Amino acid sequence: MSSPARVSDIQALSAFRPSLIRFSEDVQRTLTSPGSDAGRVISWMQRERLPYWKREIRVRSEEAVRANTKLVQQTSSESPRPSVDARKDYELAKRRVREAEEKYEKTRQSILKLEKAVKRYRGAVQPMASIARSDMSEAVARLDGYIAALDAYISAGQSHASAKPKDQPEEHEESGKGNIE
Amino acid sequence: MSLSSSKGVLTDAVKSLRVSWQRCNTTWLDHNAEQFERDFLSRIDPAARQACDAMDHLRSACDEARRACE
Repeated sequence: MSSPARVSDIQALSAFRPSLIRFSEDVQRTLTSPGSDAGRVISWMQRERLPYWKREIRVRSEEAVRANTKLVQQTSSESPRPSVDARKDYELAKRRVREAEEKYEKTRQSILKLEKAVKRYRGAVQPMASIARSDMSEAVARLDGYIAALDAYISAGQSHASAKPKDQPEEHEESGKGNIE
Repeated sequence: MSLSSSKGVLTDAVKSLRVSWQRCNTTWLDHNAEQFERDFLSRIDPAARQACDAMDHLRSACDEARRACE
């Protein structure tokens, strides 16, 4: 069963239309952006940080080898006890290798973790994306339908009024009021 | 648009739509208006909250990842 329309200003409906469109555009843009930002972080980690730590492992390993060679040379020389400095240097070099290996592994795992986070993000914003994309298009179409129906109703009322004798009163007090369904 | 500003843009877009709807709704008060609100506007707030939470999580995941590899 249809119910009477209660619209006191059709212009208000027309004025609301751009708000729906703007909302749809703003939301779609803003939902895409964090995923792209995170994608750039992933790309930076893959292209810069992972190779950096890989390179560091090699450089630091070479340093450790040199420190070890020095240590061995001192041990096998006339004095069998290597210097404290040589031992410290070797320990430090080994620690630095371990640190680079850990950083490399941490970076690799962070990339996987962030890729998962991006997937989760896309899933979590899906309802909002669907509202912005589909619901808002449908909302605009329905609003257009209401506006068209109200316009048609008013036009019909005006034609009817102009066809009547001038001393006869209008059927509806307010334009836009009546049954449009 | 950065990760940090996205949440603000989304929140502003929702607020702005709500204000526009309230303005429209003062002159459109029939069953169709109720139906319109139910069909298209009522789901926005929960979905926006979920999206904002997701943005927060992704932002902290990015920060954590940056820290991990520096």
